[in-house]
Amino acid sequence: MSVAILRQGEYVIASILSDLSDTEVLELRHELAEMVGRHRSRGIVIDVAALDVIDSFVARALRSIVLTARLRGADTVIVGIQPDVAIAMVQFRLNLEPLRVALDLDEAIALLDRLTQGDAVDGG
Amino acid sequence: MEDEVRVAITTDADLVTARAEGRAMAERLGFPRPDPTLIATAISEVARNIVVHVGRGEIVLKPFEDAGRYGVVVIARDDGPGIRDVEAAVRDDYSGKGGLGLGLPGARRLMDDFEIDSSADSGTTVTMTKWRFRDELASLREERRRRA
Amino acid sequence: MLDSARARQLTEQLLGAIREKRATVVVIDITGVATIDRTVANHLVQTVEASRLMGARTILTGLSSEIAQTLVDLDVDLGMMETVGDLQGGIEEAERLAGYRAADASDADGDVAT
Repeated sequence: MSVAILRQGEYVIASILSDLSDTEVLELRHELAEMVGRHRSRGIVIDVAALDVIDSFVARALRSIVLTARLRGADTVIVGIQPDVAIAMVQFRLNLEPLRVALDLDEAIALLDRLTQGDAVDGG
Repeated sequence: MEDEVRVAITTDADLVTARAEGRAMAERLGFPRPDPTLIATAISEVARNIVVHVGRGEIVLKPFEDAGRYGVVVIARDDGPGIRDVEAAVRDDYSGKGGLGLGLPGARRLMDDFEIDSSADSGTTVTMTKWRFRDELASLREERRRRA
Repeated sequence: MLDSARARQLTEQLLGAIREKRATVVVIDITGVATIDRTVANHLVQTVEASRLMGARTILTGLSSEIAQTLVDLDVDLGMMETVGDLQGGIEEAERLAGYRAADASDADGDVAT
């Protein structure tokens, strides 16, 4: 089992447990889209601390998760990017729009709380 | 002096292996952080191109050491149809969107030396090297030389 | 003199500290560093960007005018770097940012690209 996904109220928390093959990355993307749709989740947190490489494919998949989730009314926050991985991503110049990141799960939840509250204020 | 490592690339699971082998070799050679991650990331890009665009190929990791330096040569080789516009494939437009989606400009940025040979006859061979001086003073001299 | 080996160490320590100390804001004070070459300046910028990917914000303080010029010449995306004149000001800014939850949250939306 390479990803642990659980629901915490209106949020979905996905913890990646080991290096993922491309197929597993796409499965994760599918699974998250399903869950958000099924439960009308407002937010997703993806913990990538176990990834010791984030390359263009993973970055694209993360971007795709963010955009798909947005279409279904959920915000996504990535946590746990490791220091060496962050350096590699910067040097590689990966296109990281529109990713949001937070330091850890607590910060991510706090951020989602702020974002979802903002949505409520804006749009009803 | 350690031996070269070869990883056959046919499925995306092989990318996981290639990354791990690249990281392990870099660490054994003594590369300081974050180099093992940079090398593993570059390997991931070129190995994926093999899976996605050709279906079969290999990654060869060749360690080298001499009096003052140590490093690893990564060779990504396939017998595929070749890249028609190699120049566009490696052109770094600094936007993060160039390179025909092959991740080659990014891989090049992570490594020190980068060469690519590609044709319809002989397929594609990407040769990338990352190396370091053992001695800090020699590193500084090299830096100054490069800047001069 | 900030050379590239030391710059690499700085990066490792900084990013490691962010993770270990759960720091959402970091202040790098380079008062007393008169000049840095383009390689090191690039490295510094990349460190700031990497810290952002980890969910932290980095404030640079104590930039000499020469270093400020180097950053401008490098065509660095200055909008993404926070700089404050002196260390004291940097610490005050850091406290303000770290306390964002209590106040206006408009800065702290986790964006990695400005």
